[in-house]
Amino acid sequence: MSLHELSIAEAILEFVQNYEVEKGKKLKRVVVGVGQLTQLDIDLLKDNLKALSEAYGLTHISFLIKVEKTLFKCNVCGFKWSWDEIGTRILKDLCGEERECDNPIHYIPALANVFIKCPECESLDFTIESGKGVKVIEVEFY
Amino acid sequence: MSFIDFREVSIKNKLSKAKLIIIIGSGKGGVGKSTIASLISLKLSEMGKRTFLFDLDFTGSSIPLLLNTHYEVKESKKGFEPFKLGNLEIMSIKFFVANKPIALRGLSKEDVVKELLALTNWDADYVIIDLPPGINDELFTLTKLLKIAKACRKHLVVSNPSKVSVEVVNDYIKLLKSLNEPIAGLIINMSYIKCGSEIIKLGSTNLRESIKVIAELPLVPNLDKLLGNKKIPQELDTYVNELVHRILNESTCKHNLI
Repeated sequence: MSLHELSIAEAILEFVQNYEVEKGKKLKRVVVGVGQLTQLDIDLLKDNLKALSEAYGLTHISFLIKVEKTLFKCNVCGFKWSWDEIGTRILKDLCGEERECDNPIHYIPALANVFIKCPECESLDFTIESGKGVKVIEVEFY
Repeated sequence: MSFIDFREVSIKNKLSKAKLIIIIGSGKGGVGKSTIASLISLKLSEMGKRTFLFDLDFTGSSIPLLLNTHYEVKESKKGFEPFKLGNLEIMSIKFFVANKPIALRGLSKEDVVKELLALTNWDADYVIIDLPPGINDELFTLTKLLKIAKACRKHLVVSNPSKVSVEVVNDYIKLLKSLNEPIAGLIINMSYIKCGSEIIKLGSTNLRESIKVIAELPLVPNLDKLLGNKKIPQELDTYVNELVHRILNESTCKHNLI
């Protein structure tokens, strides 16, 4: 998995570049929250952000990545569970014997509702309470 | 601060580059939105226009089936690669999930719309968006993003001539007007059937009082099968040609944009 980290890094940098112009001041630090559900390779995302920063004129910014635990709650029976409990099994379902692969949840985390069922009642109707996607959670200006 | 949705900037940059975005919607299901979205896209593509057909009907996605496109999404350095057919690019949730049921609630639907628009590597002058039936999250998310992008856009409303459809479609038109969305007009689909030289009307509509009718299309038996060849059936070619030229001629984007 490498290309998705590149697309996400580009989208973040495009946002940050635009945000600086909009606010009229330079950013010092950007904190990015990454949900476990995304299965993003954090080191690779960091490397891509660093490598592409020059092309976007953003080398003055330090990017901090915070991994957020993914928690689910069933809308039918109320059961709660986490990605830590099911991730390995889901990835085996999606990727076979490979430990990881490009899969629909990696591409679009909200599609978890298509591929994951409530472990208690097997409903597809559940809410991802935290750790769903990628978001900018904090910015700090000079 | 809470959090900032970085995807909206990518979406804004992409949508604002399109020359024209045509949003196909209706209050009612089964009136032929996906068929009309496919026909318009095929015609634009045939005219040499770079066109992106975006299937936003997550729960009832039918574009891949209609156009007989069997495709599993691939990613390049520039994002998700759409299915390509000459000048036409197509993106659908079906390219990610194949035939699995899509159980999405409000916020998740918004997420999927944004991820697809932000991360798909589409590059077209004309964007055709096929909405699900009714007044829904997809419509609200899309109109918000189009407004942010100040995108050049027109809504095409589709109805058939049955009384039941007309009532529901009328509410949809009222909603679009209340959102200050620019409306190109109404297509009355499956309006009549040709039987030799005889034309048999399949109903009537009083929607003409609230919206301009820009096309009345006949019911063509086996249309979905014919579209599977990725070509406009001969019986509809003249109608679709006129419709597309009318939309292009009337869409100057100097009015109605916010």
